[in-house]
Amino acid sequence: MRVRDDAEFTEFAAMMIRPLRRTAYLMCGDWHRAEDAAQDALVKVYRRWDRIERREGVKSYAHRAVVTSVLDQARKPWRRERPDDPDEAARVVPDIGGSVDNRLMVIKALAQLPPGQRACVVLRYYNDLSVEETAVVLNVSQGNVKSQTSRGLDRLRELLGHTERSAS
Amino acid sequence: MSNDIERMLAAAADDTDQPLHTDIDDILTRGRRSVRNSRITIAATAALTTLAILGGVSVWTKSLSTGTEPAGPTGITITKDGLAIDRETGETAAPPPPVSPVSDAEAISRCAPSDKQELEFGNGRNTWDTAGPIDNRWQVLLKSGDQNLLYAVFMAPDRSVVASCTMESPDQHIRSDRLSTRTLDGAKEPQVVSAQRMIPVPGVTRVLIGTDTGATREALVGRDGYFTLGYAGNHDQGPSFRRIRGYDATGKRVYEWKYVPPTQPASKPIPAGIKIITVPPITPKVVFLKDPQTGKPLMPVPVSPESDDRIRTRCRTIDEANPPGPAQEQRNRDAGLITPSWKVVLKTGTGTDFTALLVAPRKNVVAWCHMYDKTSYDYARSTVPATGNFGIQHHWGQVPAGVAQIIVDLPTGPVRALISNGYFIWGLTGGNDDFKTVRIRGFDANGTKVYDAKHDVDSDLSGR
Repeated sequence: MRVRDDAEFTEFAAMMIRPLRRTAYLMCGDWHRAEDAAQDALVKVYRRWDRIERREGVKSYAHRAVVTSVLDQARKPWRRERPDDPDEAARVVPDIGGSVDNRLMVIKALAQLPPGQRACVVLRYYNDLSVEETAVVLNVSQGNVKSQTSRGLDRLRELLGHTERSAS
Repeated sequence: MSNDIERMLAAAADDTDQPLHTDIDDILTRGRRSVRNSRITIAATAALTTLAILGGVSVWTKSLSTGTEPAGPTGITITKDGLAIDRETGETAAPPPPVSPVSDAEAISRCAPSDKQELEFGNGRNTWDTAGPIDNRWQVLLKSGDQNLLYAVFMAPDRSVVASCTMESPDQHIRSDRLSTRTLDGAKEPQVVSAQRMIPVPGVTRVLIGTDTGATREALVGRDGYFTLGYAGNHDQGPSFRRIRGYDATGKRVYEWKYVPPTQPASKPIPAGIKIITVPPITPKVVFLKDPQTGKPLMPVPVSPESDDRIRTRCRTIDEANPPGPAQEQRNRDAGLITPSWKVVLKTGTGTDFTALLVAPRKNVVAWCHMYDKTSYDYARSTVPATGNFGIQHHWGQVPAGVAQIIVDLPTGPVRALISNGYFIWGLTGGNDDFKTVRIRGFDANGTKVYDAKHDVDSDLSGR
């Protein structure tokens, strides 16, 4: 990393930390892990700042890094994923009008998707990435993105519909 | 509906009530340190490895017993109901999870779609995974569950990969993974063992698991030592393992693994008097201009035209901006900032761009300094391991004994490394690292190959 780039990176990191954390949260359902993942992603970006700017776009790389960080966390046997136990902090937030319940419902539903489907749905429908961009971020084919997104959406609809019916 | 999904995702990710705990300056510091520390750690790791060889192995052999032992108090007794009693504690272990009633073909059929996704999703990351998706040629090693819940483990036809899958119901996939049956680079044991999926000792028929909840549970044991506590449904992740014991058919314990909480290794400080040991220079009788094995022309590595004083001055500016802090080793702090007493032992580059090695006056610290485009830099300081030799690092190396010439097989072609004062370098390392595993060959004065090994090195020599 170069002295001249530090200022640019700082600006980029300040702009991206919250979006990356939000993406990570949708992926893992835990704000603390999400913040860790966002930090890790930005450190990776820092290490590759010049190269990624040239080659594939720094935002795309940052998204890839954060998704990878979340998935890597989940794959480690000592870091067990607890999709049914979303972040405690989110649970204790005062809930006026049931919005927190709805949010947790979505997080729970996302957690039930396989990682590939979850990543595709989040990147496509939260981060608003195109199929091509999502394929680059996830290092999979565009066809794979389309099929995983489609399956993920179907499953999410099913889960959210089912949950809503159960709650009523 | 997609709009609804977008709206729901946006609402779920609303973080207005989640304060941010990250300081961007911390990320910047971590980024800088990750570059510096990774390099500093190389030397420290070498030192710790030496210590581990001396002191760590005994811990390992204690925690992993693969020999035979007297059945006695460390064995198990099987009750008439088939339950295992741990003779150490007298405790009866909770019974193993049930064997799945679904057929092998059905298990493969249920798991194949999610395995295919896992495989596609992991593509590009796991270069060792070339076994393809699971199909009816794969062997079912283990299956646990009922008509709905399923945890199954499959072995690839070439026995290189083990795939597992967890299903909530015949069409609801929970998770999948694929593991190598081999010991991957840098690991001490096969991946399936370190992932706590199998016991690497033949003849194990029963397995007891001590969990983080304090319970002792018997695992279901499948073929080839693979075991599981099964899947309890509802996204249960299962307990963390604290102890794994394997028993043979007679109830004799033949394997034990114990969880050892991670602790900071009690590294003995390396005395400041340990100095870098370099080999004396050897002049080759014939300087290679072409690779003696392939005939390909060798790219030479130029000596930097920058003066030693100029190199010291420019590298000192980085030192001043990033002085060795309290987290760094004492020897590094004692070495202080670069002064005219530091010796420039190696320098390569063109114009004002260079990568150089500087050695502290006490000959126990090396500064690796990369300068590019006047204001850009990369920098690391390393303290010498107890052996006195850094070996071959990511950006430079010490010349192996008896070596007069070195060829580094970079992806862009073979390079005749620059050798100076017992150190060598294969170009303008630093800047954007692009680590690749490359072959490094060393030749003696007569041109006979005396060193041949692969190393992970920075192969991007653009300097940018």
